[in-house]
Amino acid sequence: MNQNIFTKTKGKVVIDNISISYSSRNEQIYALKDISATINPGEFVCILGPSGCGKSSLLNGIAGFVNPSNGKIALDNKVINKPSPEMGMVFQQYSLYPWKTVKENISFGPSINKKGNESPEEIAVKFLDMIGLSKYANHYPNELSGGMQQRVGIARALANYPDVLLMDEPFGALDSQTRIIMQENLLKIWREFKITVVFVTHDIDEAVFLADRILLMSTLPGKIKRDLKIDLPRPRDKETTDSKRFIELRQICHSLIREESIKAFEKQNQ
Amino acid sequence: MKNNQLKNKRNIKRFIPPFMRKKTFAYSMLTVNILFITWVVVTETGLADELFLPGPLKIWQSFIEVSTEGYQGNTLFVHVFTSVNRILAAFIMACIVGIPMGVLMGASKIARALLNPLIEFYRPLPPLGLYTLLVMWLGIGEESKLALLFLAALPGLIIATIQAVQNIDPVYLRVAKGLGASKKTILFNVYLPAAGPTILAGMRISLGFTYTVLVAAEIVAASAGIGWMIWDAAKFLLSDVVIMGLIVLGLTGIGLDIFMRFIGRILMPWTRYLGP
Ligand SMILES: Nc1ncnc2c1ncn2[C@@H]1O[C@H](COP(=O)(O)OP(=O)(O)O)[C@@H](O)[C@H]1O
Ligand SMILES: [Mg+2]
Repeated sequence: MNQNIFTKTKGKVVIDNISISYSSRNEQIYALKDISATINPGEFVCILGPSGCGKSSLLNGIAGFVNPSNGKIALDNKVINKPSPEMGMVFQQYSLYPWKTVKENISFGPSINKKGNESPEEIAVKFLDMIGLSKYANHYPNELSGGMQQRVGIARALANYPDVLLMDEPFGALDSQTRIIMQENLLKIWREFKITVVFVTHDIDEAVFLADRILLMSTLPGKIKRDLKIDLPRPRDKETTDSKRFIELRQICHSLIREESIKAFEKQNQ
Repeated sequence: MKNNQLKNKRNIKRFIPPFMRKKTFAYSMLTVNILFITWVVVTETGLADELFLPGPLKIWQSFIEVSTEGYQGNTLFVHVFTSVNRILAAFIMACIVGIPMGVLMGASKIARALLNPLIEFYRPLPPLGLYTLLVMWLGIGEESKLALLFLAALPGLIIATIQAVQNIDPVYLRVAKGLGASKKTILFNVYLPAAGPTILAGMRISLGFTYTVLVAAEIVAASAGIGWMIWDAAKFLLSDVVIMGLIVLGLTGIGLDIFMRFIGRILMPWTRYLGP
């Protein structure tokens, strides 16, 4: 794809000492505290942690939906303070517009941000082909299965040719078979686009299978507890998950997460 | 070829309101039939005084008579046409004013706070009470009638639209904002379609409410209109004309409701696929 040439150098996310707090019942609650990390162009980073640890908050901060109370986040040296089309977001589920057909959902972004000389229509056709759903171009999302809907969600996010793809537990609601196929497909797309991916999940297997690096988060307030490099060879497939190294890495994550879950559970019960 | 025909048939079937396709429709027809038979029995056996409850045949005769010879100088068609015209004119005006107002009030707290007192104040007032004031302000002509119908239609529309906008899943707005969509794009691509089905439900309830004030609106200085015909016939104890008028009025209401749902299904084709 012709996008490769310039996206390789773009899509660097620098998170510089940020905190995100919410006010709830007249109290400031820190969902995240003093987080720093650098995500390199083209890298596949998973943010892993038990639910409630602030993964979504961090992702929404990167997306520009939430502004950090301290610190700043920058994309390619530009401080992020509002959402921008340089970043594509894939939400958990049911975020496609039910009133637009599959094709209209995908072409909606390009029709707002005209880039290059492809028409929004052409872009939609191309991405429908990529996700293998050309036959469903004129269907409404409610006529599609959950897995198909999420493929459309990914196509919609990519249709703007973003530099960074942000994903918030995108496969969380899918059955495990579909989920594995979606993961393999996602890796293929990622290779093709050479795009930076920040992928939020609470599923250890998913994180280890997908990531170059896992940012393991701790709870209350959320911090990055471990920055774990995943040195599994690529391309990854079924055999990857049977390898000794995969099982080792999974073990490491398991014990770290377990500590956190217990800590979170005890804190909530105090 | 045959396949195509089959497809066409299915396409046409989609536009038949879903309630008519359901088994429950048969049960509804059962209730209607039982009511009708009870009516026949009660009137034929003389259980009911014909002065107050004439039989179906009498009503039918009155229908034919008013249709051909008219009531007080106007045929039934003119009465119905006049009233439906008034209702639709007022209702459409109310939609033009109420739906944008509702969207604004649903999307902005400040707009809601500013505009809420306007509708909340007059909403519980009885239509006849309101009408006397409208007559004083606007005279006894067409304006006061339309104004009363308009005011009856408005609050339901606004309240339904506010609710519709407030219930929009925030993720829909996030998607559009994430793409850098303008306010106008968001209005037409998110707010209106997302709120559409609830707004339509509000429109249907609101139209029904507009019907309930029709008689009140046509009491004074009208010489045509089905509401006026009913009111006038009641003065002369012409119960057959009253009942016939009510039935015809009810049928136009049902007709308009089916028409609105039909339009809704065309404007919002995706609603056919909502839910399992
Ligand atoms: N809009 C909000 N208002 C108040 N509290 C919030 C809000 N969003 C998240 N939180 C709180 O912040 C913490 C982290 O939430 P979140 O980022 O959604 O975690 P995760 O995605 O890991 O489950 C939770 O304790 C949650 O209750
Ligand atoms: Mg979350």
